[in-house]
Amino acid sequence: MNETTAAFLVALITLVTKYGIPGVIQILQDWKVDNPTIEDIEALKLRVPKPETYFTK
Amino acid sequence: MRIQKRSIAIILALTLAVFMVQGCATVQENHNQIVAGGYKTLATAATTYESAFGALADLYKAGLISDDVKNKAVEYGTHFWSAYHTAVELLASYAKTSSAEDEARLNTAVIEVSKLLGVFLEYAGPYLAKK
Repeated sequence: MNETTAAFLVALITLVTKYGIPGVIQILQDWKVDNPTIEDIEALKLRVPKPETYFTK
Repeated sequence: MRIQKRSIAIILALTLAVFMVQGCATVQENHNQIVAGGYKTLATAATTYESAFGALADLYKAGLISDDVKNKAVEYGTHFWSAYHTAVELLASYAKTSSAEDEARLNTAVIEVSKLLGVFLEYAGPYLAKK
């Protein structure tokens, strides 16, 4: 295991403890996409709503 | 908290490196690498933003952060939101056109997204540690 891989694993473990498993699973799934389609890219728009919406749910 | 922010910075740096290091590939391979790298970087940023704002909303509902803190977080988040959506539009445009002009604008936009996410996390980090 090289230094970069180790740093990446440490970062993932930290994210698991702080943000929970779902966020990390999502990141890993995103990293598996090697040939994103236009639809994949368009779907990114839905993943970042305006910040105030989080406080009105 | 410092470790958390550093870890996020490491992930963003790694994804940015994936995005920027293109090597000696064919034009089509180069195009595919740029699109994939841009996608991964923006998707990682989106998940980080979503997680952080979800946590801040929980803290706000629990009365653990004030209106002032919430409003400031929304202000930083809005800057990120704007840069992120600009970058997604540029990525979609570059995926269709492969133009050098779009590539340069996309590079700049993705760097701006990473920078603004870092600014937001720098502010929100101490409050997220309460969760």
